[in-house]
Amino acid sequence: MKKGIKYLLIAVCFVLLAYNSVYVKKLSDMKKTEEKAFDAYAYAKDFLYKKVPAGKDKALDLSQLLADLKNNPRQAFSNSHAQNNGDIRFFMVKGKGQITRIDDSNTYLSLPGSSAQIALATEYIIGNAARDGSGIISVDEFTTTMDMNTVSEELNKLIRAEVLPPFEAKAKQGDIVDFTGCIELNQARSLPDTIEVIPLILEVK
Amino acid sequence: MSISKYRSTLTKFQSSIALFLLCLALSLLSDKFLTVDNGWNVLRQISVNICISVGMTLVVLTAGIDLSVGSMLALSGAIAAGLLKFGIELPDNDLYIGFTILGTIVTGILTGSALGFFNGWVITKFKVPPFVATLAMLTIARGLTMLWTKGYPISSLGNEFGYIGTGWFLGIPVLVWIAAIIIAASIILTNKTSLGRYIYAIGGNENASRLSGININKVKIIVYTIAGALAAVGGIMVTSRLDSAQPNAGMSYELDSIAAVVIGGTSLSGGRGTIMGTVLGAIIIGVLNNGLVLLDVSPFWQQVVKGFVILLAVIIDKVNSKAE
Repeated sequence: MKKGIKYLLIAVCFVLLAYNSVYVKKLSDMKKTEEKAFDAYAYAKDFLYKKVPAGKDKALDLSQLLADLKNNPRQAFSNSHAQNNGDIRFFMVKGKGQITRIDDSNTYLSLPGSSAQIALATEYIIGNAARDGSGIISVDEFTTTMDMNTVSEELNKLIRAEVLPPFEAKAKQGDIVDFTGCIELNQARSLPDTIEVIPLILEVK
Repeated sequence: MSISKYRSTLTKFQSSIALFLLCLALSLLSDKFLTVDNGWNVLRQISVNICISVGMTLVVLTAGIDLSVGSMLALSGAIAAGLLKFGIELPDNDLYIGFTILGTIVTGILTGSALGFFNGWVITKFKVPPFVATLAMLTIARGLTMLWTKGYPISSLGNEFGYIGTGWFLGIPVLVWIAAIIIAASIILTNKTSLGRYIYAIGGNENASRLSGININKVKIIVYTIAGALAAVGGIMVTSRLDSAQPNAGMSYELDSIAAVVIGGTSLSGGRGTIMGTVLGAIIIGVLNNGLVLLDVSPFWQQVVKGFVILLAVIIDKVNSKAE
């Protein structure tokens, strides 16, 4: 009898737990609701294919920026962007460089007039550089910070899925690459030897 | 006071004395150390390590070791985050199974428990040394995490889930509450239950325990399952705090937890140690990490310092064991 009550109580707890743990909906209804909600994918696509090309001229010349960062970092960082006042800052940059090496994670470029090694990221497209580098996207545009974070995710996905594959199929050592992208730098630290660029627009000449 | 009594008192309070001296030194070296904000910051940081280290203590008390806690933490956190964010879609049936926050927490903990159970089962059934079995699990769970996340973080989990890692309850961070509950429960487990006594007995002398009728395999499986479940709790705490499940989360956490256990006075050969000792060990590791950051010590040197502290703790343990 006691055992029976024990098992009954366990079963009741299990049912209560399961009832409060999962919910079931029609998938088609879910998709409809998602469509009505903030469409981060569409936002990211609009940003990448309309706003970035339109604002390309405002991107800083990477060779010049690297020189400025060496000579007058305070002044150079005044042209950076970020969603907060921390030491991590982002820049939208452009340049034209020659491919010196290609590995699984990056395509390395040399820039005329600069000794720095440029690494175009081709594997790890993560973080907020692509979203925040241009300074075009402001936190005020979003209802929740979650929406804003989702834009970063979608943008990084788009770069991986649509910007990189045609570039990787074409690029080979010695080619000249015209690029626009974003970099992330810590203003409390010295300039790294290799500057990693998250690409937004890539063109192999 | 006789020398042996003096030595015994010193041994009993060695972790507390070490912590006091460490805090004294850091408060003299950095004016930011002894501040309320920094105190909460340290407590929040060590909460995760405390959860893992409590599980590790139980394992070490049975003369075992669990090298897979970091990977189990990552996989449990990733599964919880993935289910919360994406749920399960069954297009053929036009069904979407969503998970509430409670559901993701339960699933995450069940994942960790299952992995821990598997560790215990392999160790007891096939007599695989715990070091090897859990080393294998370290790789398996990390690989599964990479497969589940496809190598990318699962982010933006919502403010409600974020409350676990960043929220406050009654003026104390939620993370600290969770750690406190786990400490209390494990103290009761080790001191007031027969399972606790079996754990000490097995670590003290496994053969004698077997002859006295203790089901060694059952106890060991339970201990590794608890270690897995606590690693999963740690995984949920980390994921919530970062609002993101990182595929490389928890890397080298096993070392921090072993360090906390050893510094806390638990013998690596089993049978001797306390949960409170481990908590003190975790606090020492946390304060040391925090202090080295405040003193702007390079992360590479931080590793070296931590390594020496662990070595020192093991040597002290050996010296004490010899003296006893």
